[in-house]
Amino acid sequence: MNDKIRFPTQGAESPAQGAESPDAFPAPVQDVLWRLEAAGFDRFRERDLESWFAVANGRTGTRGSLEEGSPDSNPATYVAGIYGRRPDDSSGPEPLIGPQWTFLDPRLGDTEVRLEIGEIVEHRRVLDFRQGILFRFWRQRLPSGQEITFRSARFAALHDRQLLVLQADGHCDGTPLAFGADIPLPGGPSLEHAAFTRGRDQVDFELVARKGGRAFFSISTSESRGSLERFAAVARAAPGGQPEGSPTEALARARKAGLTATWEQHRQAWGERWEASDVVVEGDPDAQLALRFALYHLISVGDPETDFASIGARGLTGPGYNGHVFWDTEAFVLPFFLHTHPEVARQLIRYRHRTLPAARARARSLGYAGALFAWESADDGRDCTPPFALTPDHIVTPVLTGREEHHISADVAWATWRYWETTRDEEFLLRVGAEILLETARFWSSRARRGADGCFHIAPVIGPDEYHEGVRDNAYTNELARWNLERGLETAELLSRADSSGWKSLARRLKLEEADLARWQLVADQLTRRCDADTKVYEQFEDYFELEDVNAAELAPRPFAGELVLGRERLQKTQLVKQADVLMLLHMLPSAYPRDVVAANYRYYEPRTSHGSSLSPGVHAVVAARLGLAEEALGYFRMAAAIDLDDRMRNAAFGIHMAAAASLWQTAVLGFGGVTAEADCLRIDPKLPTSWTRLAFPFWWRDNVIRVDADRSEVRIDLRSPADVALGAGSPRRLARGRYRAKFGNGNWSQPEEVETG
Amino acid sequence: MIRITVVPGRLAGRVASLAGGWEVAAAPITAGDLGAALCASAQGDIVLFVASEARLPDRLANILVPHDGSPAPALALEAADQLAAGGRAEVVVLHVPGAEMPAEPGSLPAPRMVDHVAYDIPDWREEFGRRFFQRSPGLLRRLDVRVGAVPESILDAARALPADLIVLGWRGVVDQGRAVTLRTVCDSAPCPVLLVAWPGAEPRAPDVAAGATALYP
Repeated sequence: MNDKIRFPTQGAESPAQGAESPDAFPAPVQDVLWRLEAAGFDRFRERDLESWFAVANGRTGTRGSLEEGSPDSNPATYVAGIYGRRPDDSSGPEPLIGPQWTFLDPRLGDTEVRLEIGEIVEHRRVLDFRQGILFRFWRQRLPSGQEITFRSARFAALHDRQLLVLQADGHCDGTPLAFGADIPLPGGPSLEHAAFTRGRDQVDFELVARKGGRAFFSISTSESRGSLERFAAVARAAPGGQPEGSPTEALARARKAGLTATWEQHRQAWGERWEASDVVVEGDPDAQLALRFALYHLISVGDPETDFASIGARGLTGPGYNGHVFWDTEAFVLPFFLHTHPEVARQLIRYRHRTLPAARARARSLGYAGALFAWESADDGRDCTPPFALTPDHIVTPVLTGREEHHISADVAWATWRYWETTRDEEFLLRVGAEILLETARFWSSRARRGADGCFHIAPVIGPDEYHEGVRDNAYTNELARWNLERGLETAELLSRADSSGWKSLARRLKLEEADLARWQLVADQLTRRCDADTKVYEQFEDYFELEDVNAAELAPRPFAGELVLGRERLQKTQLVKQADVLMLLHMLPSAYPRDVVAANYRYYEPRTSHGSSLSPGVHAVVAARLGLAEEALGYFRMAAAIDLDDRMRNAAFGIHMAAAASLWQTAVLGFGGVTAEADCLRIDPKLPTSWTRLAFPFWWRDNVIRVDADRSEVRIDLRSPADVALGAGSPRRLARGRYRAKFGNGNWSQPEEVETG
Repeated sequence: MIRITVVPGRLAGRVASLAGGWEVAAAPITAGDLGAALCASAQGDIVLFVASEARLPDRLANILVPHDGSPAPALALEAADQLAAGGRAEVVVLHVPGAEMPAEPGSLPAPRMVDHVAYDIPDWREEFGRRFFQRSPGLLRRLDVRVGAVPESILDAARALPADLIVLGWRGVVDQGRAVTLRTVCDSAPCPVLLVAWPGAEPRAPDVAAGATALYP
């Protein structure tokens, strides 16, 4: 048995190359930097591959399991936003698992055809990023000595998110394989009801999640002489709500269009997304591949059409974190969509807006005002953080993040403000964004308490560095809370100037009075800030500097999980940091802190960080790249890329880490590309690592698409419409639509020269 | 049938009863002679070693199997499973996260990143079980994790259980400076140690092609 997993740079070519296959069966792209290939079959790694090879479209996600299944499989189709609860509600909401619509039962006469029966002659799976299609090629020698050939292609349609498509064929010396059509009915403790109805042309499934929503699948299969075409259509309904669309109608649409046209529309939709988001790296094929893999999964999970669901920490690729939504979405994933597909970012914010009632209730229940968003959110916005966890050494320990990690409210506000700054969509600000910004500001105003020293403090609290719980005045939380209060005030002023009646109506509805705004200003002015005036280093929280100092790299090779190296008790007594905390703040508000402050804090905190969180390397990469430490940044970029792709991390079986994927985009574009969206201009300051000979990407900003194409000595900028642009440390200039270029010399970029206008 | 080599003398009968259906052969190894035991083990015999201070169990209730998270200790786990199945013992698989990561493809040591202990650790346990426990479903097995130096953690776990037997897989390389963990555990083990060397002594480089390996700094 061939048990090697091979990456595409080493991959053999597929039997049919390119999109134009002679027999109309789709074929993967030839360019190895646009595809991920696994050859053979490795029972140990099969579940990793199922995550890698998931096909999704923001509505559903299907793991890349073998069609016929295997004992090592964990197949699943997730329906975004549909969660069920176990009868005893012991584990909180869990994602609903839909029917295994890709299931086939290939047989040659009465003989089962499976990987584990007989001998594998060839087995390859190819995920084609550009087309958004998973391909499989398989030759198997049966115990009888006969050799079968099989191939399949599947996708979650991006042009019509209700649709899923599978095409397959299989033969043995001219004799067609039979595939069967019985798709098993899904089960599970969080499913209250599952039923199917077999019609003339299709099978309809109805799934009711316990204390959750519903999902409907209609599946139609046509099979002839060893060739199979299958369409599946999906609809979902919120608890007590009506289904979004009809799967039967979607199925009829697809059948009418036919397989070839459906495939072509899907391919075009992917083409548009890549046009708006692809990041080209030359000189470093591993980085290029890692980026495309990351972007593929990010594009796959976005849904610009509805706020029905947000994006879970593992997207729609696996069961990890029970599909729950964390701050990962706003702080890591949303910026990618904001600058490549802002309609998705808009829906992500609308999702949080939809959960405001739950956020208000949560704040109230803890004795605060305003809105405290769920640390872990699912379908209705109620916090579903597990109250307890079993530590690696079998100790039941309370999980305090749900109780104390309150920066989520500021993170949501940050994302909302970033959306406003990027789109200048006043209507959205008035109808959706303002309510989030005002209610979160109100929360912080009530959350901060005046201390004996006359200053306001926030305690007990957990910052992004979750190694230290119950601390006072976490720098990230305090600074972002202050920023949130100031943006709340700015929102009030903006709206009162721009739409006086709209503002009055909103303020009345929210019961906001002048005294509230005055209090916000007071708290913002007097909220504790611990920054050493000499060293410019922010103390991560009160008395952090008094803890045992450690050098993380001397404890273990990084990254490492601090809990598993020092143990939980000792961990809390050291300065070891799990992930960027102060640096996260400096990353999120790049224009608010001078370069020397960023440098001082990077120098202090980087050696004390274990990177025991998948959120850490990417942020360090961006901060290092902005500081001009390009090679160090590249090391962190590779560490972030390795989280899901490298065999040594062993962390992908439960799904792709969406935040880590997004942090690769952030590193390339915001870090090495040096793009900063400032209040008045877009600043561009590329700083490429030595091995990268070219970096090119599009960047959506204020209804404009700016294309940046840089090497180490020149940057070329293509503006679709006029924009205020600054290069390096230069002053902003109003540039007309057209193409520009600038040279790098003497440590800075020259003024952009016009290459072509209009 | 697994052939087991034991130090001769007073232990042979006891081990024979512990081992159930195993073929037990006394080898010309002096009790407590670790060097000779290691040599025999390195040659492919399964060797029972008993340190001078070790307690001799009357029956097997707890069998401790240190596991580095690579597929390599499969034979040790299999041996432990056979013993456990005979005596209805519990197999406690002990993983001590170390600085060195096993290089074999398919390895699953404790995660180097734990975003959320409530999810990542159970997920890792589940995946660990699916990869390494799959061959003998139904047996009583537990995966324990200890933080600290590897040999001391194994000895601590053996004392705390208390373990009636430690089944220790190793690479079968007895060169100077190698098998440090094994030597330390054997010297101070509070119970007998069953030594199981696995074939293919040196870890292989990952089969994931260089492109993927290079992703990591």
